[in-house]
Amino acid sequence: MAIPQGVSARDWTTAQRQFAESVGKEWLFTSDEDIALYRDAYSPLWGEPEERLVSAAVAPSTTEQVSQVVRTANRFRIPIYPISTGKNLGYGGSAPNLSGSVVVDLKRMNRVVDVDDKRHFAIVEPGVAYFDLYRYIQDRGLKVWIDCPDPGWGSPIGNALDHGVGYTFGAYRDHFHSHCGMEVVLPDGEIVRTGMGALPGARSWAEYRYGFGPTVDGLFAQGNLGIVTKMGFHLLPAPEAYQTSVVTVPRRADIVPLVDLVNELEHAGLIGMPEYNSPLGGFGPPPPELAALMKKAGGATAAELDEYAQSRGRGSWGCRLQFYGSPGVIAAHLAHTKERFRTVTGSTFADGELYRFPLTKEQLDRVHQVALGVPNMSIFSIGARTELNPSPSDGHLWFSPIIPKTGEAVLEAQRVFIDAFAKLGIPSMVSPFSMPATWMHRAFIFIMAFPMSRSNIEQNRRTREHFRALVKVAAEHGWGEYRTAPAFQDDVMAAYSYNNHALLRLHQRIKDAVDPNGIVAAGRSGIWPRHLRRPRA
Amino acid sequence: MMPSRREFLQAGLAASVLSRPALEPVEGTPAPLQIPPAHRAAPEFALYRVVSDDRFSSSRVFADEAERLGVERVHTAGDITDFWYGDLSSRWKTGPVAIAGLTAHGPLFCLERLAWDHGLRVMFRGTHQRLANGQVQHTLAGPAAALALVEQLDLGTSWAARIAPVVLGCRGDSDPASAVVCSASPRVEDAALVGDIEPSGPLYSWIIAPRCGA
Repeated sequence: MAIPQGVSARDWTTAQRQFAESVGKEWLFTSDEDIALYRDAYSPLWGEPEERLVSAAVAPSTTEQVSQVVRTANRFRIPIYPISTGKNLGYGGSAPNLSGSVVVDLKRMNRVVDVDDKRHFAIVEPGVAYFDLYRYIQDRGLKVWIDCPDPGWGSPIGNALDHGVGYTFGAYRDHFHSHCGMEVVLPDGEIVRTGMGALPGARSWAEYRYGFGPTVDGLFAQGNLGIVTKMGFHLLPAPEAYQTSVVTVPRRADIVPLVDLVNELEHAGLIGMPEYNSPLGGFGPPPPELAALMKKAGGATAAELDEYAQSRGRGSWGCRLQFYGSPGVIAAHLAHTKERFRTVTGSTFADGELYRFPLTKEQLDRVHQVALGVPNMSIFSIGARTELNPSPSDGHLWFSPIIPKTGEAVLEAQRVFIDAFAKLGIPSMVSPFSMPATWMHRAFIFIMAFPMSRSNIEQNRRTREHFRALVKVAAEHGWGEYRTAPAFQDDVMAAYSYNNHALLRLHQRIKDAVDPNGIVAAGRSGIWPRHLRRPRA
Repeated sequence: MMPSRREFLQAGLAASVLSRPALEPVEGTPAPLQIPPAHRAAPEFALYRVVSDDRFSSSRVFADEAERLGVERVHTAGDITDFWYGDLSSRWKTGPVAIAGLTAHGPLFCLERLAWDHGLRVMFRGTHQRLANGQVQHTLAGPAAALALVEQLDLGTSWAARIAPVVLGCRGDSDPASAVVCSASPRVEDAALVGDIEPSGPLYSWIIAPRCGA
């Protein structure tokens, strides 16, 4: 067991005793076997001296215990790193930014405080997993849906605080956006509630998020100013029915009106999350004729791709639209959608089955369950081995640049990243048919998964170089990552550099004021406490 | 009076399997694993379920063997959601019990991480990797006694069935020595890694059990 940096052995011993007194000695973990569980399973630094490792873990079960733990940490200037369920795979898992930190593991705080299916909200603690909240709702027959990520074994609070996303309507699948009120333990141990929660006896904690005065909630998402111990969330009223329809457009240039129209439908609240694809793309290598076209000097032209698509009776782009509501509402929204697409010559629709809730098990197995707020882990049954990822089970890193929600931006991102991969001399993760993820309500994520290895340090070193290179390429085009693993948080924050990094400097000023000893999640989002801050090169 | 098959398992599968001819001992097996009698019937060391990753013949063979020995089987196609949500999460809330299986990486990855929160650990992990020449490389980590046992087995083409009793017996107990996970040198055998679909990586034989003292 390593002693946290800058902490004397005597203080460390005293602090451990106080941690144990606060939570019970069985909930202080110091053995090598136990603290190894907090390694990031997908760490890009796996097995290297720079891998982010913890010195101990402490698992409080109440807000008051969290406060006591934080007060002890502050007294002895011990770095702490809070986690909820620790399932943030691909973005850092449960490992801290600063090695030697003590993980404050909040899994034991697993109470569902309230769920209301008339006013449509929930209030939960950080150890509540999506499965737990789903079960709570199902067991009581409540008429609300959760919105969960895929996989669904993480926690609503942990996911929301890392700006995680889901699959239903925009107002719900941006999980931080759907939060409403929080309880936070500050670095000095003080407990604060935000929004209406700040009003003693408040009866609308999870209904009105602003309360009165400046809103500070955002400082605790991807931040390091405290430990969130409760949060409210708005929930979606359970709809009566669900139906999908896939719209396909024939020409490559049709991506522009396709995205424009889908934006209109989504931003008006007529559809849930759209899912784009290209009938010419997909997993695996392209057919030989298409591959030959793509390998031409300068790549295939739009006209050649249109001809290829037309000759095979396939469209160039598609989008799966999701409709929720009563059957009558769904029929009206679908009819309106088809009417709007009359302006795109050659567009076609393939309507899916209309499902009325509750679904049978067989029906549930046929649908994308997270689109119906049903948590699952089926994604782990998929292991796609690729040229870039020979050992898919070792893990991956998400590279997640935000790009504008337009067809033009998609085509530009394809060109830019294909070119970037060529310059890096590695197989491209992007093709002329790559489409963005649509989890964000008002932007696209041009997401890619970089592989990491448990056994090949050199491969990981190259991966880190490639990742950082793409962060810069993205920034040069006005695209920034929304979320990343600790190993890259300094790089990503550095890209948000307007006015000589004024945003980071503001974060640092706030950090210094609220957490002068710099104990909470040092380095999170590139925000380091003063004593660990390095001069910018 | 002879114990029932389930009681037999509750009392410590490996020791029983490897010492009782009625259960078709695997050829060439040495002395059984030593499990302190005082702990053989402890409910937390009971083997609760064996997970069958039905996409792979080897997994089904492993689960067949476990089922033959009285362990209740859970069918999956690599997705443990139904098992977790409908069964295991509730069971582990009442106390830690062991589970085992021969699966692809995904199910083990999920179950191992979920198990940590309930004081359970992987006590045996066999990695069975198809090589380019068609052979299978077995890389094993588990209690020394179990590894010694496997060392003397002719795994051959029946490796999934033959390794099952050994894996199922590694359930931890109050003997710290049996809970120490050691690694064995990889061994290569002329045997097919039988799969109805091609696994995208190795298959893993494993048991997740309460750690010593849990």
